[in-house]
Amino acid sequence: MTISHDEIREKVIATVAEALDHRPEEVGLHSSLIDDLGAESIDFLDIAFRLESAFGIEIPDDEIWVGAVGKKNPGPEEIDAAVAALRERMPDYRWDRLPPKPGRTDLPRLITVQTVVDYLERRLA
Amino acid sequence: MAVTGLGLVSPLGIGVEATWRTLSEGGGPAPSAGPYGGSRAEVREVAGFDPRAHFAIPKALKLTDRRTRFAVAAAREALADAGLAGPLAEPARVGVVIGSSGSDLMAEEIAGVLRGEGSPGSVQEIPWFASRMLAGLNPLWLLINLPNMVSAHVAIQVGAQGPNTTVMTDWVAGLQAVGEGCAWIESGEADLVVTGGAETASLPFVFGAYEAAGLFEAFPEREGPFVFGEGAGMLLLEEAGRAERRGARVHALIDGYGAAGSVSDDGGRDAVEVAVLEALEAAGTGPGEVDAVGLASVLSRRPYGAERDGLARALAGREREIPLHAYSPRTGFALGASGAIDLVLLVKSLAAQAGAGRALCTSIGYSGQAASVAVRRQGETP
Repeated sequence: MTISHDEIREKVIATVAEALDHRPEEVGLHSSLIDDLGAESIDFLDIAFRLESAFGIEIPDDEIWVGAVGKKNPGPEEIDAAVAALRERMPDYRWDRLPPKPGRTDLPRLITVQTVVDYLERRLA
Repeated sequence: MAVTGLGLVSPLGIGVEATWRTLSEGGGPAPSAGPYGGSRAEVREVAGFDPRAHFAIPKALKLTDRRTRFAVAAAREALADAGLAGPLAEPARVGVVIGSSGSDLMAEEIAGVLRGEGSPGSVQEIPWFASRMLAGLNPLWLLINLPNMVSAHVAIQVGAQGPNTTVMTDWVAGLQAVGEGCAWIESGEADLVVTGGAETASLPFVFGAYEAAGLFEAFPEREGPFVFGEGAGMLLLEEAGRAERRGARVHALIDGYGAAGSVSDDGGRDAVEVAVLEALEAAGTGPGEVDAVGLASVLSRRPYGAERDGLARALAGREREIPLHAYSPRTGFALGASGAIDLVLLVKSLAAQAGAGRALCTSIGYSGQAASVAVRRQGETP
């Protein structure tokens, strides 16, 4: 069974909206789950569980967290490269909220609806 | 100890005034078979309750069960009633202690997980049960259903950073929470305490256990069916001098508290007698001074034998002349919240009745525990 890009995006928006108590129209592709939508650490557990149910997959611990970078425990160069790629991918993300050279602890703030969609597309491909 | 704020969610109304009005006018919803048709027990449920209106942080709603939502609403009402609606001036000096018999455990979700595709497992097979439950239940399930979450969420929503505890002594939990709250203030642990009880009537495990134990059949027909209620009753407590200094309106003073358990020796005094006498002694008074008794009873028409007998002994023969206030025939019996709901209503009735200056509120648990709170109108001599 294949699922279209649009379907993935709509399901992610609906899931994130419900989990974080927003209306779907308040959830943009480049909304930071933490900075824009108010997610806390337990919300990522909740969102991962809801995505597992919605897409019929298992999401190992922490994978949603690495969605923005593509791997666990990235080194400094990998973080730089991932951030550069995300700047290309999400030009209208509010980059001014992050330090000029984001580090490991800034990565969760880079989790957006887009990075979750990207992660799921990799998983479902 | 001054009661400067009252809050209530009950099947008779959302809020103290709404409930009191329904109580006084004689209306209220008829009991229904509720979610558990086919039993002798009945249910009175809270209707028209919108939790969103009471949550300062709406996202937290997904972390709360029904009893916790009632508790938050009633706690906020009690604080607002005490003139403390805004951010609390000294959050670390505000405690929260709430009684409840527990969460409803989201039985529907558990049942859904266990139904699943034809597994041979049973709950006795712990590894199967645990892995199945962990895989199938939202990881937030535990956070919603931990027994102490009711007090935790009230504290989060009202911004109370002081001591925080949940009392789990089932039917007497609400009054024991109030007793504990008074002790916190007396010992200097807190200046203000939000206290009371909260419960939901949607408790399939409890209902099933009661039915299996024959509890619903244990009472004579004339005493009426067991009517589950639900809701929350909350009080804001503070030391009387403090209340006076800040110019707070005082609904009533709590000046005595007693709690007791039963012993198996038939020759001993039973729990309700001990609890009532302790409360009266702490208040420096005796049965002769009591104008009214509030009894959080399980039954819909009248207290059952053990309640009557224990009270009769403690009240030294005055039990027939002292008016007995039993609100649960109207509100339903809200288990761990019942004592607190009844105490809120009893305080309200003290204010409404010119003749009654001193009252006792008493809860009796089916496991032999009892608690009693002595309350008097401000200005009455102790």
